[in-house]
Amino acid sequence: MENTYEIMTGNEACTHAAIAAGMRFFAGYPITPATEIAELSSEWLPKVGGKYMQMEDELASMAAIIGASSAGAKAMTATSGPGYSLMQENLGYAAMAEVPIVVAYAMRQGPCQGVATLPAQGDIMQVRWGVHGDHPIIAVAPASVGEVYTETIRAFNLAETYRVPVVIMTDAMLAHMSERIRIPDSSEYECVDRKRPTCPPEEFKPFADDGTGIPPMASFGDGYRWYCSGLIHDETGFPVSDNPQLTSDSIKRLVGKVENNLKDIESYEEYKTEDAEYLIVSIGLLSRSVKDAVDQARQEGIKVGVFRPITVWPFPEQRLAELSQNKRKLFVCEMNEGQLYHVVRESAGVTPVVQITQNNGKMIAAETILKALKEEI
Amino acid sequence: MKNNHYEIRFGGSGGQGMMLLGDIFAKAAGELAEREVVLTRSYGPEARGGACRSELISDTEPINYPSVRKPNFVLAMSQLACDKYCKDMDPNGILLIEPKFVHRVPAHIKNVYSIPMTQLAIDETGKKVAANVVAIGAIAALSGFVDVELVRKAVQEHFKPALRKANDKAFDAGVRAAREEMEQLDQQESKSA
Amino acid sequence: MSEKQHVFDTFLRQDKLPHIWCPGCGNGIVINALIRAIEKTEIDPDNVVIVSGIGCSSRANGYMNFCALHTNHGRALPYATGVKMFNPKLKVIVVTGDGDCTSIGGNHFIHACRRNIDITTVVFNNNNYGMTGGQFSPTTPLGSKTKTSVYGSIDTPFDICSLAAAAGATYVARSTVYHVNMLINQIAEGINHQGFSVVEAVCDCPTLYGRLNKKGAAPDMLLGFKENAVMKAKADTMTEEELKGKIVIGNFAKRVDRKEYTAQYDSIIESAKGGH
Repeated sequence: MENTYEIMTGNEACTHAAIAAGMRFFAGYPITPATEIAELSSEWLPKVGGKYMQMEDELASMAAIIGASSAGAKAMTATSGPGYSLMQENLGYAAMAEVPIVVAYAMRQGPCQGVATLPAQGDIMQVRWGVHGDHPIIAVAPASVGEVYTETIRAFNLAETYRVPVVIMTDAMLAHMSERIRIPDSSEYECVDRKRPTCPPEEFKPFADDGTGIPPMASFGDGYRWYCSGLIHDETGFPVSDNPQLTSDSIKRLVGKVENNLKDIESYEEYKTEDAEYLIVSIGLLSRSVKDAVDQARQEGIKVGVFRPITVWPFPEQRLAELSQNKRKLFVCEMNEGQLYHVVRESAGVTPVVQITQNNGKMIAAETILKALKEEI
Repeated sequence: MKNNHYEIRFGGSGGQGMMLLGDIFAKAAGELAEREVVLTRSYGPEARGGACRSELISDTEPINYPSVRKPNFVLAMSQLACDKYCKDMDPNGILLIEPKFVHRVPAHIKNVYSIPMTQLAIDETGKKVAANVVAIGAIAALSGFVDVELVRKAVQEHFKPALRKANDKAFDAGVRAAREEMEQLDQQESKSA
Repeated sequence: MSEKQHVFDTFLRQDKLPHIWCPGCGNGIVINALIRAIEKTEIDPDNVVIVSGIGCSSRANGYMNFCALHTNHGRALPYATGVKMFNPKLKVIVVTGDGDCTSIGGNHFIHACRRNIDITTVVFNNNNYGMTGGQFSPTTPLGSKTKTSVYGSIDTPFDICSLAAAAGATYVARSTVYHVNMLINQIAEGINHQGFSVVEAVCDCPTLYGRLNKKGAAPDMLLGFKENAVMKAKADTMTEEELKGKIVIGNFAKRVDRKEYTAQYDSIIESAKGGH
């Protein structure tokens, strides 16, 4: 197989991969540092017969991609903190109505308007819990432009498979930086399409569990008439407010789509963990700085490794719990005041967990990480 | 830092083509020389006014930390860029300045090359805008981290064929000026030795 | 079995009835008008998608046997826009209320008008928030009493049709639940119109707005619509003073000068593919 290499930015890789994965509808609203995804989608989508819309705001952008997905499109939007906050309301609808959508989310320094052009990791918890109520969500955090490409394809596949919103978490730096990446050949990956109903239209119940926990989905206009409410609903999609059993069952099925398929969804990288006495947990671009620190530490004889969740949500709790068992200490390195830290503590058992944080819009340098590591061992 | 690891920063003011320089060298090192590259740049309003920069890391090994920390080479096309972007330079690194706009250089940098890139562009092509192609030629020759001919190819592939002749002239002028400067410095050094 | 089934049998989800609305509510009349309009246009029911937001009116699509999304408060139009944009062969209809459409969804409303995308929006205007128990909405008349304007509303109301026409909607009309035939015709015209159409259905809320403002029972409110309705052409000749308390019904806009949005995008696809 011929290897194709190209130099592209994180945002370019995301758009390129989204179209390769089958994206044919994009709706968005310009926001730094995600804007280029909208710009490129507006240029590239019509060339493949796809459609781009610039909506009046992020509420409308999220709504439009859910509408398009209901009509059969693989659809995506792109945003950053302030826009993502606005999207939460309709993101909840995507989770509730089980409409597959993908959000490319370039994190920037917060809170509020923060610093638009600087990277941060302050939205890890917002991605998990920004939507009110218990709901399923999947979030992947690539560490390089090349991984933005492959994880974007996987994001679409996960959304289609589980009918769950999937967030691709990058940051202002990864979004804008260029790297030389290998473009995978289309024969190297699969593009998953949502499961379609096969029953006669009059028998179709859009939210009936077929035993997998993930009901087949029809597209508007293909002969299956279906209705869906954002209220708790029965198998027909019709609101039900006086049935505690149904309420509980439907929430459990929604959340279970992720919880019962962790093996397929979860992914992570382990770097020099085999003989490690210490472990640093880190996600995204920052994890590369952590790797540098680990390499330097090992030269000084410190046995340390890296655990990098690629799916931040669901967080690979079980694997981290296994790895924690024989470690002297765990470290969590993140660009915020401590978010992943709390999740790591849940998996760490009795192993002490130490925070290495820096929250100033700068990628944490390997030297800083090494210094913090040495202070604690 | 490993020998094959090279960090270069292109500093100037908005509109001087600093983003272009980053793209050209990323293409030469990444696409043509098949090395790992990470290119970062000023963004938004920052890239349009005041001092702006693009930064390239080139390595034969995968690059972990994505920011330039200790540049081996800095181009300063404006005084503001020179003031702002030289502080973290490798003491053995190279600073290239445009004398038309840069009048003061930091004392701690030994290897300073002053090449009138804007004037050379006017002399060779009649166009001031070709100054950045002169700069590309000069940087290629001075830095040596990627083959000069691959850089020329990257320039040729980046622009429309119609501009090829003028760009080649500008590029050659940059290479020539850089080599003359290097010879002069060598002679001075051997004299003083 | 050659006997034609009644439109109610085929277009209403019989198993979901009775509906949740109060006795005397005008919403049922609007549903009646809507399904008769759909029947009249003879469009393929499999291609009809009805999108709603939140509120009493937004429950309407749950009772109708078409594809439908019951979405979030104010957001019906951008959802509908995504549906229509991706598959322009679908006939997309939005059912919404005065609060849903012109307050929380006000921005989406003017932008949908501006885009001129082929969606038919039926606004059930009952002058207050019914679902939450009768608070004032952007169409509550000045001085009216509601649960949040017990001393009389001081917020100047919107005229939905003037707003839509000014924002660029290419078909705009108003009727009331008393003038059912006119309403049916307007919705049918809206569906057939190539562009963004708005049909405002003035309807009664006897339980809340009507009761709090002493408008009497449902039949009294309907008779009130009859007495106070003035056709647009006549209204244009009347003074502001003469129009006080009147409901202007009829056509507010009917334009063919603006190209429909999805058709315009098809041209973009054509040129993008050509220029590839």
